[in-house]
Amino acid sequence: MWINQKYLNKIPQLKTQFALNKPFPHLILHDFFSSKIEAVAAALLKEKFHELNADLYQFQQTGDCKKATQSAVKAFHKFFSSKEFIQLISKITNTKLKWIDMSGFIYGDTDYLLPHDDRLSGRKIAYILNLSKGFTKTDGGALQFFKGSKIVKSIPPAFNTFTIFKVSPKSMHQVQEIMSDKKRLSFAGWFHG
Amino acid sequence: MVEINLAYCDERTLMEAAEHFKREGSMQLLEFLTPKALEKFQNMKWRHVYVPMKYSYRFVAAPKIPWFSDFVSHIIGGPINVKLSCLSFAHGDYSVLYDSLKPGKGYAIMLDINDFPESWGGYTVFMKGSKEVVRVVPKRNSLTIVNQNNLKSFHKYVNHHAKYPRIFLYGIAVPK
Repeated sequence: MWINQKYLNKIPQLKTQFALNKPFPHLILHDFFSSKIEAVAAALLKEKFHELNADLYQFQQTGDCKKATQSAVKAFHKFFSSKEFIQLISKITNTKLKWIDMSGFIYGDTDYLLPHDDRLSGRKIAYILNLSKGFTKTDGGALQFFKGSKIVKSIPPAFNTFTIFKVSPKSMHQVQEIMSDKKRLSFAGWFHG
Repeated sequence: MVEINLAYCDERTLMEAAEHFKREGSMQLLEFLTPKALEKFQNMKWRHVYVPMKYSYRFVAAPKIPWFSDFVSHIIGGPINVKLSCLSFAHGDYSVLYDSLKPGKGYAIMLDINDFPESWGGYTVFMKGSKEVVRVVPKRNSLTIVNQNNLKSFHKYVNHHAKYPRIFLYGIAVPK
């Protein structure tokens, strides 16, 4: 079982909450996956990461996890890309979803992702699963949502927190700069329609 | 009065600089102003401009430098119009290659007031398509000119290691 049972019992409430949340539809689900995710996090660190450095971002990223080398990452990707899981997210977000992409990310000291809205053909729902532990506010690394030019929501990178949001002209967000030696580990990508 | 280092008033030096610029499309002159002139750029009253998906920086009108256009004209090899602003990029500031950004025209002029290590970010990158063609890492009291025709540029995010802001005069020189 990959998903924490407590969430499976309240899908209608999640659907309502997703639609109501501001500044754009989203959900922040703490402890979303079962304890199996611990082994996935450890395995992800053994994948190959590439440094990416541009105007908009600076971080390390794996290739698409469908080509993962670690069995625990492969197993998680298999579940995450399954028809059943995609249908579940479709139901919660009230959006017809067909497939996913997934990469692993490491943000180290001074890494960042500047404000953008994620809009690109086919992207319907964005997701981030945080897998790092021990982050405090001063370490940075929060996922931050904008309304206009103001940050109105800041989501610290807590272990096993699964965040999803609807991609739209309103979905401006950023990943705050890392301001310590801690490593922010995550999976992220999109559900495509 | 903002005064130039007299070494750059020498005709031979100017000619060499102009030849270098013609050959390379960019150039940097070190120790450009007199040390006293640099003091003009302290204690400025900055105004912050912030459009999250485009840029964040501070600016103020540049002090008047009557000889500046003539000097740049000599390097570029023809009369120009240039309007300078004084910019500051502190921790958290940046500019990006946003979707509606058009390729540059004319010549980008940067007169950096302070050193700014590359590891702090804040440097200026000129891109041709997806290829980086020029990177300007700020050096104290240096004048940089880049032929930016068909290039787009951004300023790298300034990270938390920066101990002070990058301060520079910035303008676009357009042939008259």
